[in-house]
Amino acid sequence: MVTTPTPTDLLRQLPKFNAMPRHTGPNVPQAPPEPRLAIDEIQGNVFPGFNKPTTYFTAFRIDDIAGAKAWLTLVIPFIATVEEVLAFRRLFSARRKRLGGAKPPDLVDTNTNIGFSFEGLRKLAGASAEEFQDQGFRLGLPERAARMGDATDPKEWVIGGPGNIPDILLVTGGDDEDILRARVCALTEEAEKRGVVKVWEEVGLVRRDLPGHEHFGFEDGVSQPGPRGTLSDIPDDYLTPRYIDSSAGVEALLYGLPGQDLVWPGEFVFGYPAQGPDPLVAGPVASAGPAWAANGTYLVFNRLRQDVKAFWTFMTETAAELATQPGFEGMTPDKLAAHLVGRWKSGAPVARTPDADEPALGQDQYANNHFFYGSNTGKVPLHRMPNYADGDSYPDAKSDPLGLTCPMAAHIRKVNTRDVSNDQGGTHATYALRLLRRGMPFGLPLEDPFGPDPEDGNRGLMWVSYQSSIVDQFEFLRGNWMGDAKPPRMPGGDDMIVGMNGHPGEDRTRTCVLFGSGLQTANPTTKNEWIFQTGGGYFFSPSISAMREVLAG
Amino acid sequence: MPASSGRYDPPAFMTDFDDIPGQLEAWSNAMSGWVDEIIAQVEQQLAPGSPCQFYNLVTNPQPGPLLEQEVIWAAFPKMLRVLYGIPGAFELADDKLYPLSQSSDPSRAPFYTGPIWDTLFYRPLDEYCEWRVEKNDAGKIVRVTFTSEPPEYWQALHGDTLADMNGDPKYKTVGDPKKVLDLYRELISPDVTLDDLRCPIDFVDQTTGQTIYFKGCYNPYNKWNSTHGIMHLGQPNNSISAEVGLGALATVIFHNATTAPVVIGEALVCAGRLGGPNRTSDPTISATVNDLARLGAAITLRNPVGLYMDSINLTGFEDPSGQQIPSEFFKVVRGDEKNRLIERAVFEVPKSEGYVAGDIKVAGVPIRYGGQIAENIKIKLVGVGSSIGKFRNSSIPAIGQCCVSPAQPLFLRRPIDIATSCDATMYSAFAWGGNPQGSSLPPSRDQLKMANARLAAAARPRPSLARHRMR
Repeated sequence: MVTTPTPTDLLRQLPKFNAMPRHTGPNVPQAPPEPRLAIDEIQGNVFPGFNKPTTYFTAFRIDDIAGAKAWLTLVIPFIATVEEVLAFRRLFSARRKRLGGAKPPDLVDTNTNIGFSFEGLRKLAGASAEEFQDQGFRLGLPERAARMGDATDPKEWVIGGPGNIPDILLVTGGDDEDILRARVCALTEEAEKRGVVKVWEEVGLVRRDLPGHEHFGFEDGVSQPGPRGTLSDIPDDYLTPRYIDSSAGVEALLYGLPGQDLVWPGEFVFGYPAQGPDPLVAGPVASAGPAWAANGTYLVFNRLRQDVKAFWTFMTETAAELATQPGFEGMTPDKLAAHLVGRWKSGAPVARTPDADEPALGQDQYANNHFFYGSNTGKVPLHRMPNYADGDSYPDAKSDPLGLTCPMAAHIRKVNTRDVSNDQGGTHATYALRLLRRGMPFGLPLEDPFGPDPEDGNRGLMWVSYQSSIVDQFEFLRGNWMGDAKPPRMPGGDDMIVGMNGHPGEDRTRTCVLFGSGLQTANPTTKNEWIFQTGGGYFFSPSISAMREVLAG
Repeated sequence: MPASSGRYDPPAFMTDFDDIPGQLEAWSNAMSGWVDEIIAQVEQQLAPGSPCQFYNLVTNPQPGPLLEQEVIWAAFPKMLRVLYGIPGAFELADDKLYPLSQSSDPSRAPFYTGPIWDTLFYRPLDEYCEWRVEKNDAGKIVRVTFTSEPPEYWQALHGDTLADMNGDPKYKTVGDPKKVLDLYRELISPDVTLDDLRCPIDFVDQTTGQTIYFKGCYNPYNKWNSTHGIMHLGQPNNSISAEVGLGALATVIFHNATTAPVVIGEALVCAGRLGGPNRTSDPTISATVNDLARLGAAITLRNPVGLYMDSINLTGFEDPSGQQIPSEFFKVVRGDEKNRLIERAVFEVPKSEGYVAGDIKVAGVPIRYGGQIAENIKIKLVGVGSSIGKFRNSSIPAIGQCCVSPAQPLFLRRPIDIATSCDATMYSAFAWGGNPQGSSLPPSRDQLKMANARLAAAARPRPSLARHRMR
């Protein structure tokens, strides 16, 4: 009997065309059905992220509502969707593969996304903006910052302070700086013609010397959650590719890359199921309030200045002091910093390599996130990975529920408790508190932390995250887990890297618990802060149709 | 913190027992008895040849270095948040008292049956911290009183015979009723009488026929600890014996469909029937203890065993002028503040400040509910692990499971026997085993059908709010 091949069958036969919709992993019958994402509606910096070397952040104030609507009508076709950004990524990867791994120099793209503050939505959407429920979004970052331990005066922020909250934030990233600049200039020019006034602009730059690293020198964004959801009618054309072989059992259904939690998309975009208590079963559908918020999300923006000299001064002085203490012999500034971050500069996790950096592990996406805290971590078979036949050959992570290897106060343990429980109960929070981070550095790197600084300290991180709750995700993480020494789990301490101790009477002192080789404890302590809020805001990034029909309509 | 004194001391080393002859020993005997009872129960559960990893600190102290593991959790009941969202949960937590004949958990049976229980009330605050809000004539909050004191302490101070793990009277105490009265008059109201605090009749559960509290004994649900005031924990699950029980039972290693141990906190509570899976407390207590058990450690609770408020995060609590309030507004009244063993605390603005608690804003939002304060309080117990690697206990098959209704997708219903089936409209959570490594693929497609049904519901133009989470 001859059967007609289905589109799926045809695509299976054509694996080399991986710029097209494709299978992204093993076809596991027991896999939970995942929602089809509206990839022509959701903005593309949400999923999968622009990932461009240069990004302009441009803020506007609306002086003329009708003009703003006209401008938005003009801008909408330039707003990159999931579909477009992903198509470019797939094309880029396909071309790169054919070039033997070299980046295709002439394949460039420019992407713009947009967000509106609560005030901005009030101007453009009228009464329906009042239906937004998120208290953080409604009140705005300046009102909420103190709760997160921030001691800076919002009035001093370069953008987003009282009286300086923009209505609109444009995020435009591109591969070619000339094309990118031309796009931003054109959009700005058209805005100003229509009473939409540019109030601030700044450029974020991927470090040219250490791409992917932030200014303290650490690889950033290693552990991103993997949103669940499909892109096409092909049943396993997932947004987040699946790399684990079904012979691994449930691990193939829980993770994209090894250790990359698959999270229901309602944690990031409205209108989809969010996380339930059982990670394999869809939870309730996330709703922001107005029906037109479906396929939209909250964008949190923070301009964080990083004091690189203060950071490394602390690491140097404290490491020298610790090295004289039993159990901490051989402590170095890099090792101390790695234990406070939870990863070495390369991104290699302390849980897998506690004593020294292992750059190959740091760069290995199949291994650098594969570790548990509550049990020994075993090897995991990967799906059809001929180039990875030997699998992950790095040392395995050992069970570490007490934080003897990777300190409980390490930044990556403060924000993601993985398989162990926390002050919010079991592991539901492991999924429900994840954010999609899309930040990038600003300012030029300081090559020698103790040398002259031509930038006069003006460098840091343009933090951008997408989530479906500002209060329950971003603010909770920053105020309750990073900003409090106790949670999520003891014996902990402050998040020395990012946390800000705003507890009354504690004089902003941050301290934590480190264990030595013989279970000795040490408490590195400082009052100096290394990260300062210098701007920011809360925005809503709507769907394409919401902009067209509600905001520009 | 002093090492073991050779006895179980009163919670937070509180001193009310000190000058009552024989009372400290009586308390220690009760604590030690509960520990021994629960160890016997665990031994019944364990696989043949597996010794109990939980030990009695007084009669069987373990040698070697001890690793202390503080287990902390948020004081605001997660179950209320899951069921009612915010601000519904805040309103209910402050204002609602349930009769003992009714459970605040819709998936469990009433605590007791019989007319007397309709007249006795408890707060639906099941995270080992309870509070009472007082407001002024303008409706603004002026005072919130928090407690983590176990009811058994007050029964003992009254001189009652404390119940064993089966609820039968067993552990005699000496007590001093006058002390009970004096403390109530000092902390609650000068109008309190001893008769107010005592059971006027036997309080009998008609379902079991068991007398829960005897006539003339201390009544933990007296009006000054429920409708008219707050002295100690009253929610029936909030007891020190429950804490001991959970700590010990959580040392048992369970497996589900495969031999991989259940490690995920919520899944462990379901598999071992270890309390409330929707709580902040039970899953983290169970999973943290179980983490140590799987490392082969000997485990116990640190002396003095108790339930404590550890700390409050007052970051971003601002007075009407926008200034951070001082930590002194959260005043520790009973317990050991220095060692973070807090039993009773009051959140209140001193009169000299000219404003009240309800004028304080948290992250820009005025305090309208005690829950806004409670959600910043951490509760704790302290476990102790030693001799890591000493035990190599085998896991045993799960004894329980939790069902979930698609109408309440965030709510894990209370664990039921593994041998029974979930209602036809529900699915069994964590059917894949509750261990991200080594578990098999889900054994049935039932839960996937449920998920499919929910996704289809999501696509309807006006889906039921019950399936939505407003964010």
